[in-house]
Amino acid sequence: MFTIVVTVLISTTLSGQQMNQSNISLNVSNAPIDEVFSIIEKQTGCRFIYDGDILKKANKVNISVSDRPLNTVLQLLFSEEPFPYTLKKDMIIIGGSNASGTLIQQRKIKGVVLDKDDHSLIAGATIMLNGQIRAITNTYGEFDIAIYKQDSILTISSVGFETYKINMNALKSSDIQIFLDRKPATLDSVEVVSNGYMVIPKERSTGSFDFISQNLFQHQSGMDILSRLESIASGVVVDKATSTGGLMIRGLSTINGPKDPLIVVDNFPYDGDIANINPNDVESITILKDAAAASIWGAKAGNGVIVITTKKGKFNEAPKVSFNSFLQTSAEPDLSYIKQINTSDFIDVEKYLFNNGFYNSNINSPGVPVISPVVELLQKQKMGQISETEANNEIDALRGLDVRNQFEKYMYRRSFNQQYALSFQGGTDKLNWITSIGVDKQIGNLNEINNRNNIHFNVNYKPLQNLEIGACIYYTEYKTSTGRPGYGGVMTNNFQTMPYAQFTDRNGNPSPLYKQYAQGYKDTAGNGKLLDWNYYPLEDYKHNYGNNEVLDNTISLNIKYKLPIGVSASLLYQHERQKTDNKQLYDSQSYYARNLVNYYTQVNGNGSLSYPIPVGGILDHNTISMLSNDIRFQVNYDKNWHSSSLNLLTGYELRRQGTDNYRNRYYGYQTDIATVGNVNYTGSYPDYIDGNSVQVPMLDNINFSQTNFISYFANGAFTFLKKYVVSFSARRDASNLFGLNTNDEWNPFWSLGTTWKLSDEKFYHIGFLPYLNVKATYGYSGNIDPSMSAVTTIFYLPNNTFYNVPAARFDNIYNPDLRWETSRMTNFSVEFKTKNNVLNGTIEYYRKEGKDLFGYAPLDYTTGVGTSILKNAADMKGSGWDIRLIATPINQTLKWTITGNISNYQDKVTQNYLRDLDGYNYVAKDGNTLFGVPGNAVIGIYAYKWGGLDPDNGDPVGYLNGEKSKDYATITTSGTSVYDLKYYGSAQPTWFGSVINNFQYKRWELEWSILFKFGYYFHRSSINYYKLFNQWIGNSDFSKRWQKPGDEKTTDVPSMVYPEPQARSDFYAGSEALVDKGDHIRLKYVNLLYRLPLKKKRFIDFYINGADLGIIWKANHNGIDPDYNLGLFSVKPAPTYTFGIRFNY
Amino acid sequence: MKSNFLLLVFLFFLLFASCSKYLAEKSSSQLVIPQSLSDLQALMDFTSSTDASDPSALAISSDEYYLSDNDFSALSSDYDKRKYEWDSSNLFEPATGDWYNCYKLVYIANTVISDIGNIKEEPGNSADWENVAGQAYFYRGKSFYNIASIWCKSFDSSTMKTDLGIPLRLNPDFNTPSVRSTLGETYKQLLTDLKQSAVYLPVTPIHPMRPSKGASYGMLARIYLFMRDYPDALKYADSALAINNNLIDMNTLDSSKAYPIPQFNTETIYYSSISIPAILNISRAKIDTAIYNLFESGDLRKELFFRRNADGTFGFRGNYTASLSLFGGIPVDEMLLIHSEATLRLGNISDALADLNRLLKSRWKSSVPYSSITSTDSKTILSKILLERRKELLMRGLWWQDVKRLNKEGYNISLHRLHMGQTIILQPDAKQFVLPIPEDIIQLTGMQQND
Repeated sequence: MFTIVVTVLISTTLSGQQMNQSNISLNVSNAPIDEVFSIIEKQTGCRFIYDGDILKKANKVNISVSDRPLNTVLQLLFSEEPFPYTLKKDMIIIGGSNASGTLIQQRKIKGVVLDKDDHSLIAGATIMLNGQIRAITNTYGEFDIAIYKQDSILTISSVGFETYKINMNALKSSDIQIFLDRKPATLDSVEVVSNGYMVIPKERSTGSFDFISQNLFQHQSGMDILSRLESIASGVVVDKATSTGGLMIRGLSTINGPKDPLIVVDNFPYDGDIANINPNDVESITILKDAAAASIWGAKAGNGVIVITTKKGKFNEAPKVSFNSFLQTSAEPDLSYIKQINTSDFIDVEKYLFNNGFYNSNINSPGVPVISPVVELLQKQKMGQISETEANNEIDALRGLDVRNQFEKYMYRRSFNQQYALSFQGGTDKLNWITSIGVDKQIGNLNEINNRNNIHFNVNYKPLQNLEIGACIYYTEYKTSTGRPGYGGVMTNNFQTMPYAQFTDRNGNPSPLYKQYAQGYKDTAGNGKLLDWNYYPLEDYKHNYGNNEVLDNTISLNIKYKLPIGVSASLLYQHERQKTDNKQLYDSQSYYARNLVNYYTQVNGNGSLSYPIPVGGILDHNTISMLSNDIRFQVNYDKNWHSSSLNLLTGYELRRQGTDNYRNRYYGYQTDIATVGNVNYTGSYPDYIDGNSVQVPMLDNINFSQTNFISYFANGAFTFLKKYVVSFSARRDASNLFGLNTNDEWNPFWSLGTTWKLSDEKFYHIGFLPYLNVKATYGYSGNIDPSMSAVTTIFYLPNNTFYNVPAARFDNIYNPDLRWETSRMTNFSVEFKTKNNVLNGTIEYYRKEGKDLFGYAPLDYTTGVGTSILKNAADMKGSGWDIRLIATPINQTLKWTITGNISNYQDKVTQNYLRDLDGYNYVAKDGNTLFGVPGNAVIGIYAYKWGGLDPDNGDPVGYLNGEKSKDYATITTSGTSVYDLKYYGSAQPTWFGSVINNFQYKRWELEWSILFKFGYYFHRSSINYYKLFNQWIGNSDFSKRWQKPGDEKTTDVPSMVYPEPQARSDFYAGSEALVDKGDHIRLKYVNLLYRLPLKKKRFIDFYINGADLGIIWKANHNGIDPDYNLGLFSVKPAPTYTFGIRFNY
Repeated sequence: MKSNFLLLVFLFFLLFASCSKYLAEKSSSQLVIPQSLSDLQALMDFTSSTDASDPSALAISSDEYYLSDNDFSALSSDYDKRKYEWDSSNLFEPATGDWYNCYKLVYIANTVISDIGNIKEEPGNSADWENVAGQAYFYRGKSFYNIASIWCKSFDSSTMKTDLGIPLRLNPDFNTPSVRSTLGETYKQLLTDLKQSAVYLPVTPIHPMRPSKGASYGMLARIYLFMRDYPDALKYADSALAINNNLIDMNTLDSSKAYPIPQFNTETIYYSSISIPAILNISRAKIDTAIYNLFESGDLRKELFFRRNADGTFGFRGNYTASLSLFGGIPVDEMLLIHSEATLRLGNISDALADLNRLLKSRWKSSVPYSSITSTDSKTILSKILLERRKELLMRGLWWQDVKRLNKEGYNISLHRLHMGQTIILQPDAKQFVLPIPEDIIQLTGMQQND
């Protein structure tokens, strides 16, 4: 950009000099005078200014001169014409007031050029009139020009922006604002991408980058950054279907290793919590997808890299203020989405079990475990304490209740989020700066609170021509506190809440919920001497709260010195300290504290009580302080020839990160006076309930950890004839992590890449595709799992509670063959642009091969080291397409842009050295198991073959050795090998992406994003009788169960039997009958923006945004949103609406 | 400015110069490569792996208790139900349970035995060195025995070369395949380990959960008895009793307590426990009235050992753990009974009677005159001793092993359960007396299943 500006400046200066000296050669006969004007303009650079009408009087010109001065030629020319001329500097004014009285219509125009996206001022934009450069905008984006009537077209252009043309005849005002559109990011030839080590012009990059501009990024609102990526980035999917999922770039690169991409903020990996960063401070995000892009990050880049660039000031920039604020709200979630068993059905099940004596051992147990109100009534009836009618009346009164209503009424509420972000920035030629303040306040659906304050300050100073010094401070304060319990958060012990539970009595006062111990026992225990043992769900959360406070300071410095020979050296340093302070207080009124105190209460011989756990609250306090220091020394070499360039970079860095973790529990905590009690951890006490010998739980712990890294890296690119680019990248890492053999301590990762700008070739003649660029890359990146080990390590635990000496357990087992995982990736991409840029896009194809992936190989546990061991157990292959298309079908006053991100990803296991083939390891029971069968997807959906329901009794029927069988115990253990299972396909979407439609009409902008995921399967949960009986977890499928012969024709839900063998439940839960297709389309967000122009070049944007608007289409017919299918208790959030204001000036 | 910059660069290089030290830094304060005696000791002081590893399978399979049909049906673990029903397959849940726990302890022992070889025994550390080594040998020997007691036939010197033993894992390398030894090899190894431990271990441990010489002797006495090697059983019981000969005077116990017998009581030579599954919970497992009735009215144990349920049934509360968990350690009462039986079988009637009376007297109400057992018929005395084993050692996982050894001597004891309206009988020669090895282990290792 700089070079271009300089060139333009030089050429304008030149044209001024030429004017005085340049001589003219002309040879025309009978030519119109305006033709002659233009020849002279071309040869001299001067301009003729005239009123168009005047030329009507002009005579045709016959003139022949050779190498004559301008003055001479003009005199000669105008000698034959009926009007005079005046030569002023480089202007030749025809007519003129003094000559004919027809004054030249000259207007002064003042203008300002702004970036349409963020309204930043554009300095150095070129202003042309009828193809002639008339002005360059100053640092404030302003220009002044005089225009004359014949100047019809004003053209404004700036690097990186679409050229803008105005017909001057249409221009009424003399004070104009011009907004330039940014060129589409993916194909912008001057667009730069950052990989955290350097900023590369997109043109020179060979790798696969996905660039997300601030404009696209800010169309979603919220506190966090990463969740926005799924609906706008290409090749990114958030896996919500598997419990191990998360954000993935181009699918899996590992099976059991860490799956998170590396997150880099500015120059260094971000060690703090990414939630600390305020999205308003983000300038852009670059996602590094292939090996060439990511291999500079070496061992940590196997899962891709997300580089977040924060906002910086710019040199020579007018001071600017930006402000963004929104209010966001979402209704309470719809709990009817939860497939909870019908209350009446649940009660019938309890009666049925009671009649079978199922509860007898609990009723008679000295441990007095909780029994439900219905069972209690039934027992009272059985004991003759109440009549059958009384019992039935009371029980029937419960049938109409639904605990979900209680949650909706008392626990959930509308959420409110507020965000305020204010920033100032500016720059002179020596100094630039930005400072911003962000405030976020979030009150969630359960009244949980998230408050975040950010302060960001960045300054860059150029004390000398070749020296630049930058400093940045980023301060975050993030406080969260817990709110009310949500559905599934009110437990009666290890059980779910019964569906007829109520939180209040008939008068609306908080009422106790049966929890942990039999209510009858609680009512009488201790004869009033103990603390109240009741649990009140509506009161308890007020006495039971968690506070988490994070303070994060990141300070960075960088110094860059340029040597004249093209070498520049830079030193970067970053210091980050994150302090997390977590307090969980169970005050003296909380059930948790009262229960523990009661449970440990000792009755002495004389009837007095003593308290091994003192009466009072319990405070768990955990502080984690993280300190990281990064230092990097880097040398760049840039050499440019006529049309070729060489860019090299090399350096090394040291990285040191330490964490100190202190965990303490205080018993007998008195909130108001902050005192704590004493406990004896080594003593044993008989518990109050059934006299078992127990010890006071000890939760104190201290842990320090330290990881050190040393890395070397190099990166280079050679550009030849502006058409061919070859690049390479290499890196080696070493760390102090245990167990990396010396050979593996230094682990090289490298990549090669090339780009060919095909459309610049002479033989290229495809008219409708004026731009075509092809790229190919190949390289390695790795995946490091700090927990892997090649030596036996042990881990020290808190002292043994019986005799107070240190205790340790095995942490890692000597595993000499362990190697780092490697991921090899090949990437091909084509970038194109059609004529007039109606359609542009990138089509990428990649293949990746993961080798030596970690897997937990089932192990003969006779060895004593566990049932599985981490091994380099498998190889995998993945391949896919990432297609990004940007079409602009209408580009008038109404502008319609469609951005489509379409990704295909498929993977398969190529080798699996695990010898365990037991089917049950592959069948999802609650989540998905990560295992691989060669040829199948890495995370696949497998199910037991389904033989329907037995027409006689509704038993589920499976297969054993190819024959129909009901030997569930064998089917679900050793009797089914993985090859006996039905394999469906991937558990992760194989086709996914988003389509973003954007309409701009005058001051209005409307955008929506539709997300789609196709080609995958999931296991849905259904009634599990084992869990229903033992854990009170019931699914509404219960009502569809087999009840009489013939039902098997219409349902797959097995009959209820008693006793229910666990294997029968396991079989059904893992069977084909419960596999569904996951395909669905959802409306992710809609954004409507109105831009209100104010005086003096100021604007205000008003926007309304709706997010998580729901599913438009889904393949399954069971009412399940596959993104919210983790167990029965997945609560699906309600749509979120945002109203915001943003302005820049 | 320029010189400052160069200084920074210089400092950076300086930092880099200490690279090897930088990479050698420990990555976590609590993470250690076990090298010292204290590291090895710490591994054995993590009581969740050493204490609670005593197997429960034999206690579950025993007929000392029963379940009501309702309680049986209400149980959630199919595996324990099958053990209760004396099924012959799928008795163990894959990847967990007794096999897992016992061999986990073997691994800890093997690691200690293998690593302690790298530490030189010197005058300064000798006591600690031997203590650590002794504990490891004790744990290995004890675990091997526990495993053999479940999955092998009762020891018989005439068939020990052909009877299947257990996989003897003697080093921590998990790549070594697991192969079953013969029963003879198994017993040879476990006896060697325990005898080695007796050499090394101290007489007085810092806590009864730490193995001691008494623990080794006691374990050897128990094993030799089940091997029907009475001279050796006598010898080791004698040695154990020489260290601790205390008996609880049960008159001093408070029967109003939920668990009247205190934890770590004076009879405990070595403490370990069997963590019990739901099936053995006191709320379900009922002691057979026939067994309850074996206790005479003057016997304190009749009250101290049993919890009387509302419905007239009895639960067992005589655990030396003072909790639901069953006791699996080495106590004086068992030693005394071994001593008594072995003495008797070697022909010393008076000593046998003295042991027996001493034990019983300590269990007898002081308000009721105790009449000593007197007899000159060794058969009668033996049956008294065996009866007392049944009563005193109730619910310690030992009855099953007694049945197995006594059937070797022709006692023809069969086990009975009244279950779902039927009586199921485990005949003396039933193959179910040797439990099937977990099926997943058979699949993973290809070792031979018990038939």
